[in-house]
This record gives sequence, structure tokens and C-alpha cells, in this order.
Amino acid sequence: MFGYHNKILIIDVSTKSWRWEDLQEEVVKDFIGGSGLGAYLLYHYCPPGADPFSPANPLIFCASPLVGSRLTTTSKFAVVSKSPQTGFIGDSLSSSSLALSIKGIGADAVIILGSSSQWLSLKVDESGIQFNDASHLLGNTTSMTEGHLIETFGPGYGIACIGPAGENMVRFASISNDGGRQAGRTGNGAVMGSKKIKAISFKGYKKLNYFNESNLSKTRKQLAIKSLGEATEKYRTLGTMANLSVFERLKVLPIGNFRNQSNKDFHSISGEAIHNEEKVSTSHCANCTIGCEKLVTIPNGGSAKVRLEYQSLFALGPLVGISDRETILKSSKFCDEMGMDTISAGSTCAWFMECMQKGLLPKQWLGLLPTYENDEDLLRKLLNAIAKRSGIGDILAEGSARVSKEIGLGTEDFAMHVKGLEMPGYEPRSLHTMALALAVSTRGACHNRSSAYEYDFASSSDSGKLSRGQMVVDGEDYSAVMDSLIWCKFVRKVFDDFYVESSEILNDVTGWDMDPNQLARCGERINNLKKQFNIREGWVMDQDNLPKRIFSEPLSDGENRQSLSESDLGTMIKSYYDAREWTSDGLIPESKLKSLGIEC
Amino acid sequence: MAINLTVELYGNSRIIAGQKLVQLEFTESKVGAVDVIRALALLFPALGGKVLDSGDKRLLSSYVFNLNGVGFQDPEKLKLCDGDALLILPSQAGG
Repeated sequence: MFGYHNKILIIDVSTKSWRWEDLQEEVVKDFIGGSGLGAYLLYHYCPPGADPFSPANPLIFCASPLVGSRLTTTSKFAVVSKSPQTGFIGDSLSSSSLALSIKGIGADAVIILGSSSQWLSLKVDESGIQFNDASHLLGNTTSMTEGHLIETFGPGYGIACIGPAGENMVRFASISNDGGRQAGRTGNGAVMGSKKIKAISFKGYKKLNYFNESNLSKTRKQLAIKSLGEATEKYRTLGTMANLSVFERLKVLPIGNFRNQSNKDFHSISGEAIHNEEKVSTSHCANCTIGCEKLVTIPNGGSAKVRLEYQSLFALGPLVGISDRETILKSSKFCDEMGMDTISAGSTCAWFMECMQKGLLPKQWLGLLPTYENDEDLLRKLLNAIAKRSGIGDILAEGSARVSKEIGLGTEDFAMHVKGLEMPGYEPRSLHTMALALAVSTRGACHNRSSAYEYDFASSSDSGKLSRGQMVVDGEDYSAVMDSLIWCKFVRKVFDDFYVESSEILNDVTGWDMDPNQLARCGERINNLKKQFNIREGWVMDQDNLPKRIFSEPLSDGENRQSLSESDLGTMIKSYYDAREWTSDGLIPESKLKSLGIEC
Repeated sequence: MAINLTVELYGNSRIIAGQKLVQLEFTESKVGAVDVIRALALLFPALGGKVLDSGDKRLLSSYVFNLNGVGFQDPEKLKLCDGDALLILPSQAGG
């Protein structure tokens, strides 16, 4: 088979053994790679009802058919497991040379099973797999760990590692690679920590053949040129930081744990201000021509740089009511070094700070609080405590959903999560298509698996007459295909006709004869399988919902009142289930599964 | 009657122009997107090719109009009134 190795590497860290299994062509024709293949493998390798921290929960790294093709933005991989935050499918993507290293060892996916009794650093290369003792790496930050392993093993290794947060099984711990890139959401770093794996180093150069190298060569050049055009201008200039000032102006920037009451001016943390006033350099993922990454030199931080994204700016700034640039930059860097998802970390702190302000903390917690001078100091100390699970941090490391459920007192109503995953920086009371997408997403409150905000940010004539349910379905299926091939989302506007061009490219890679409709059908199949996994793991309809605050506290701004009622969301959810051809309870009929070729 | 507009610049348009707000005054009774783009091109020639197409009098596809922070507007349907704020925003919403 062209474009694939047809192999899965399965490593059992309980027995320190490994084996290779064949990957059937029918499977990748249906689920492609990346997030889609990861969903398939999770469904089949995770026993029903497995605790996310149990040895049975597989930690899956998936490459994709486009990895290694040198097409722009395709050096990406997916990490998939049962999420310790949601109890449902947890998948996150990351980028750059690690994707090439994983595929370079001759695997389309690597599944890690079991749990070690001692901390391990895995070394995977053409000589086999070494299960090295990692006790000397414990407590090291992500950059220290990666640096140490590069120094020990020499160049050419792609490294996935966890920081102290992953070691301590902070439920929103991330997996770090390539100098600070993060597979950030859904807590895969905590799963890696539960297996006592500090790091995995991959090195390999197994080549793949492509069906039509001549066509691919032309496509490579064409896409590279187009990727430098208008369609990616924002990402090249300011990166995702550009969102902050725009979102603030459009009143879709969540502030103060979504209370959106603040007398603070966030101008100084806008992408434009940071660009003009700080030292900012640009970086690229491997094989990427866009270069969206903005590395900001931290004020009073020596030469330290932070890879800054909008979601980190939002979650460690406005969401916690902080506008001090230095605090935000240092907090973002701290989360990356500790290996924590900035969105969940910031949101959990925002919830906790509101509990403090309202005097809702249980008495027994008061002795666990750090002393602090101001909100900025409190945020720094909370993040530090969470990463180390010290004092109050040991409680907050469970995430806002679990902790609010434990203490009650109405604090659940302002724990801003869906299915246990904290919400990203998009205001659902104003952005109603996005609100629906956040409510129904299989991985919890997620902005990256639907791109539904695009409908809210478009003129009405662009959206046509689609129902919101159909918009979210289309966005989810499209995103599932992108995340499985894998293209970076930032290249999406480069295509004139995404499904036509992507299917042609996939055919040039594999020699298949997949038409655009069949490729779109893959997206539908992947989303149905993800949902079916969640149903198997206990999903109930009530979990397709938003936090109560969204319904009970409308946004008010003089004449404009932005709100979303529970009933309006219910209507949209019904329209989504209808568009998916699911039952009114959100379940997937057997006939639907059968038509998609999903065997459960 | 003159029509006074505030144009708010975001993203690269703000960086190139070096300012967040631009006040424009039009003596015409009807003002549309083309008039605003023409005025901005005169004030900030460096926006040409980066934010707007001075020749075709249009925003590049990487930018969109928003009127008064409320609604996203098709340029050809844009009708501006005295006191309006016209936002020029990066069109890519993701991140």
C-alpha cells in the first residue's frame, strides 16, 4: 500500500515487550489516519468501561498518510486515549518533526498499553525498543527532559514527553514535543503519567513510496505558493494572537470566568500590542510554509521565549481577569514547561477565584490556600500548586468539573466546562453556532473539531439557509477529515474545493480511487464512531449541554443583550441530531451505523 | 449633510497604518465600501496589496468588514450612515 506502512507498533510497558500488527487497508480507507484512525484503534483496543488511568487504557500516537509527503503543514500527529477529564474519547493533535519520527520507525500508529511499576523513558528506533529507567528525569520540565534526551541519544530523535503535571497525573496534563509544542487538550499527558512513561523518543528513516510522485511534486509547489497568499495572512503576521483585540471588540471574548464584567483594558495584551512592543520571532513546524508560531521573548525573563497562542492569552488573561502582560506570558510558559493545558488550567483557576470571591470554599480548604498579594500572584501560585499537586493544587488538579461537583453549593453552575473539558475562548451567548458545537462535541468543550465559529463570523448570505445543526455537522465532518489526513487547520482556506483537492492528493499518495463524496463520508464515519465510543462509555443526552451560567446570565451591553436560553440550545441540539440522522435521544440507529460500515 | 465614519483597524492593518482608529468625513450623501477603501488607500498607501486592493477597490480576502461591532457585512451591500463605526478585521477566525 502506498503512503502507509500497514503496521501498528504495540508496546506493553507492563511486560516491557512489543509486537507489530498489520493495519488493514479497509481500515485506513474508512478512517484515514490521525484522529480518525486513532478513534478506530481506541474503540477496538480500549475495553469498555476502562478507567482512564488503568493499564488497559491505550495511549495511541497516530501518524497519517500525508506525514512524510512534504506537503505543507502535514507534519502532524494525533494522540488519542480515553480522557481522564471526560471519560470519553480524548484526542489532541500536535505538530512537527515528531510526526516524521513516528512514521519513520515504520509505524502508522503506536499503541501503548499497560502500566510500568517504575518510571520509564522509551527509546524506539531501528534497533528495537529500550525501556530505560527515567527516575533521574523526574521533576524535570518538558524542555529540560527533551534537552537531556537529545544530549543523551544524539540528534535525530523526535521526543514526546510529560512535565511534572503529567507525572502527578494532573487531569489536564499535556504531552510536549519539538521544543514546547503541546498535544494539549483532554489530558493525554495524565494518561502517559499513569503508565509511568516520562518520555518516548522515536528515530527512524523508513521511506514510503507514493503512487504518483510526479503529481505530488507539482501539488507541493502549488500549495506552498498558495499558502503564502491572502488566505493565511493573519496567521503569518500575528498568529492566533490576532483574535484577542477582535474578540474583545465583538464582545465574544470571555472575561472573568464568563461573567464578562471587568473594568480592565485588555489592549496591552492584544496581538497588535505584543507585536509592536515585545520582541517577537516567527517559527515553523517541519514542512510548513505558513509559519504561524509567534515566539515572544518574556519581559524580565532573561532570554526565555514563549510560544504564544490566543487560547493561552485568553485563558491566563481575561478569563482570570488579568491584563498584566508579563504575568500572562510567564504563566503560559510555566504551563508549557509543567506540561499542562492552558485552557483547562486557566479555567479551573478562574472558577476557583470566583469561589474565593463569593466565599464558597469549604472550611477545610482554607488552610490549603497560598498567601498572595494580588490576583496575578494568586494565579502564579495556583498554577504552581496544581502542577505539583501541592496544597490546594492537589484538589484543583482534578479540574473544575470534578471539584465543583464535589463541593456543590451552586459552584457547578459556573464551572465552565462541557463533559468535563473546560471551555475555550469563544462566547456562546453571542456565537450560537459555536454554542451548539461546544455542547455536542464528542471531546467536550472544543473549538477545534468543528470550526463552527466560522458561521458566526460570516455575513448571513455566506451561511445560506443551512440549519445550525447542519452547519455543525458539516463543520465537524470537514474537521474530522482535516484531522485525519492531517492538514493544519490554518491551511484550510488555501483550497478552492477542499474535498476535491484533498481526495486527489490522497489518491496521488495511495493509488486509491476515492471521490470527494467518499472522503466526506469518512468524516461522517469518524464522527459517528467517536460518538458511538462515548455512548459505549456511558454518554447520556444531558451531557450535550452548556454550563448553567450561559443560560442564566445574559450578556448586557447597553442596548445589546446577548443571550442563549436552554430551550434555544435544545432546539439546536435537536436540529443537530436530525442532521446526523440520530434518534431524538442522540443515539445512533443500527441502520445508520450499518450504512457507514461501522461494526460495533 | 456630511457623513462621519470611524474606521477601526485590526491585525496587520493596524500595524501597517500605525493607528487603531481613522476618522473619515464624506460629503457625499451615499457612502459605501468602495469610498472607504479609496480614502484609506490615499491615507495609507502601504495598505495596498497587504490589506486592500487599491485598483479593484476591495478588501483582500484576508479581511472583512463589520459594521458597529455587530454584523458582518457583504461589501456590496454596505450602506454607511453618519456616526457608524466600520471595523476592518482579519477574516480568518480560528485559533
